[in-house]
Amino acid sequence: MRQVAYVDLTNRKVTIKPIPEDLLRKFLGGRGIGSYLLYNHTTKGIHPLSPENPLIFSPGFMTGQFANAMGRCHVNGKSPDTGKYGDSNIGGAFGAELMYAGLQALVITGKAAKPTYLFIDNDKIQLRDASKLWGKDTFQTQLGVWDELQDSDVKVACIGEAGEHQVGFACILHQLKRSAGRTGQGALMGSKNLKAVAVRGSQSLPVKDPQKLLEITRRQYEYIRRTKIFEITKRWSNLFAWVVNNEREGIVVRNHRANFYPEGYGHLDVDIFLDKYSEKMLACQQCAMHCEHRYEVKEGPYKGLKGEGPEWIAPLHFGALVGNIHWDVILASFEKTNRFGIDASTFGLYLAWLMDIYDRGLIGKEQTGGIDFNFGSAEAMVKLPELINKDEGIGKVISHGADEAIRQLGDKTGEFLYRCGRGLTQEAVNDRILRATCLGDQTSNRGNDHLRGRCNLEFMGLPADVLSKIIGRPTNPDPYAWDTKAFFAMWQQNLNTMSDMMGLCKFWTQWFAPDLFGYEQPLEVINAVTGWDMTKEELWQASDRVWNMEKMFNVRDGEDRRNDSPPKIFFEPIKEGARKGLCLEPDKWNALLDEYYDLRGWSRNGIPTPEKLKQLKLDKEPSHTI
Amino acid sequence: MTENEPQKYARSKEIYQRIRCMRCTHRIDLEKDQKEAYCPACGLGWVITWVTPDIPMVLRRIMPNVPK
Repeated sequence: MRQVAYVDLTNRKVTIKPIPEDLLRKFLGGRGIGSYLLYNHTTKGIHPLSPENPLIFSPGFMTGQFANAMGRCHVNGKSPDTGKYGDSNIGGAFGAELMYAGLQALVITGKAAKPTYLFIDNDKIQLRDASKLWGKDTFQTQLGVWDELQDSDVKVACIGEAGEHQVGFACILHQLKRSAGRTGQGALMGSKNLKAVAVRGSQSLPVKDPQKLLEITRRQYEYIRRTKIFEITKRWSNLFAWVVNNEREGIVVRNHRANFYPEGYGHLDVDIFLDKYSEKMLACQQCAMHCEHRYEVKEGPYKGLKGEGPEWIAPLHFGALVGNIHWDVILASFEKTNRFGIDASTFGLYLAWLMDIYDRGLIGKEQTGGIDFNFGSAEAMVKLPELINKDEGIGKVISHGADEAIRQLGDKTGEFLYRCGRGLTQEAVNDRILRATCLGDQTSNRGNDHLRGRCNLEFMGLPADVLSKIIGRPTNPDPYAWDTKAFFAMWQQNLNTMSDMMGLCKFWTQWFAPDLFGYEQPLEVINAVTGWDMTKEELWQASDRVWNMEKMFNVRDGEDRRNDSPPKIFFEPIKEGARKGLCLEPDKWNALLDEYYDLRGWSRNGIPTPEKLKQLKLDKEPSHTI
Repeated sequence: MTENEPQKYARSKEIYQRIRCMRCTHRIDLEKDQKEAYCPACGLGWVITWVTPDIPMVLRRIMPNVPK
């Protein structure tokens, strides 16, 4: 029987309850059960930093099982960054350890009277004093917990000082770089005076048909390891995507001043990183792809710096976006954000904004504390994480919400901070040139989001028959065409929801490459483990249900069609380059949105209809079953 | 995995020793160990690395004044 643990930090009370099987079958685990619990344990208008806002950890339904790439854990909570639905996903071994401790979900409410950390030792959950850990960075915190518990096999998810100061984009970090980054769950954790969650689990996971699971896992592994993307990723990580996206002019350079970064060639190339910095490759639990670099800087001003990562977001958000061409500066800044528990993506977006308004003369050294914020400034890149961490100077200005930062720096500066309709800072991708991708990203429930709605297959130049076969209905492979893209976006969103519910890494799915996992492969694993007779249609419906559950959370707080709007700059034609003239055209965008709402079964105002909720068995929510 | 149809079909269309033009997505066939290639459709040139003896990957565009 799978269980959920409720921890009330205010009253220091722990309750463990079983999760009914019918509820599990409706929502599975991870993002599914997480969104159910979030909706059921919050009320309309709840403040994100109030003790009543729950912080929910939920491993994927198959996390920790003997199955390929099933190792991820979801984190849910109303977002301190946007004030809307918030969640994030974390790799490593934390989720599996929670499962081995017997927990499918952990719901933390209230606020501890003093700094506290949770220690989950199988079925015992203790609240321990974290006074000695308060003020420590994420690396020191993990070492401190291991030291106190005298067990370095304990898996720890924790916050740094940024989380303690409730920085709007603070993350929860596990190991050296695995972070629940976007939407500021670290701030929520900090608001509860909760420094860390440490887990030790040694229970086995029940499997209905172990022999079948073994056979499925072996067969799926043999298939995957013969794919082209597997060979590339296990050596390069997803850094190869840097060239792909730069060349298709799908990136943002110097805070939307350009979309192609030729200056990076010869400096930010993947082979330079491999030759000079990468030491070895690492993997999350249950994964054979080992896509993460361990690196060391061996010379120069940052000599001796060691860390893990980076993915292609590093040369993007710490390179092109801020006009930098030096790998060592990228790594120095990236390591600091991880160490201090700051979301690296959001950090890069704020840094680019500050550099932009500094360059335009809207702020000067009096606001930056004497730091040079010109594009490409190594000083700014390395010092800003420290200022955020200490909640000082310009770091403090940007730490407590975009609106507050704009208020302090002047209304004019707000024109250059690009945010989507849900208030989340716009990722440094040039979504305006792709139709399904833009729709998928902008209608994501936590705000614009490549991990929810990016349709990577859209810009691979796949033949129409191949793409249509994958999507399941005729699909136009032209990325600049508008037809057939609404279903494409919905298909991608549901597939990504399914992988988050399962605990499956997206690098193993058709989000990443056309010949990877769709619904069938995770489905085989579910049925072997549970003995269910789940069908592909049922799994699709479960994904759809979870997407709608998240939507209901936002709708309850007053969300509507306006929140699905991209930043205004996406409606402005690109001024130069190979994609010159491309942009979102308002009429076509609105027609695409209408089509998407129709497919989702929502009103033209973007609200799920009663019929749709009934069809998904969501009409009785909140049901308070657990 | 039962090699379900869409994946199998996608793979059958993706021939190894081939790259995709990063600009226009046209497929470019390569000779073994070829270090550079030009797209017959858009004319851009690409520097190629070989991840395995069969799997090429684009490193960057051929551009003047690139130090490496």
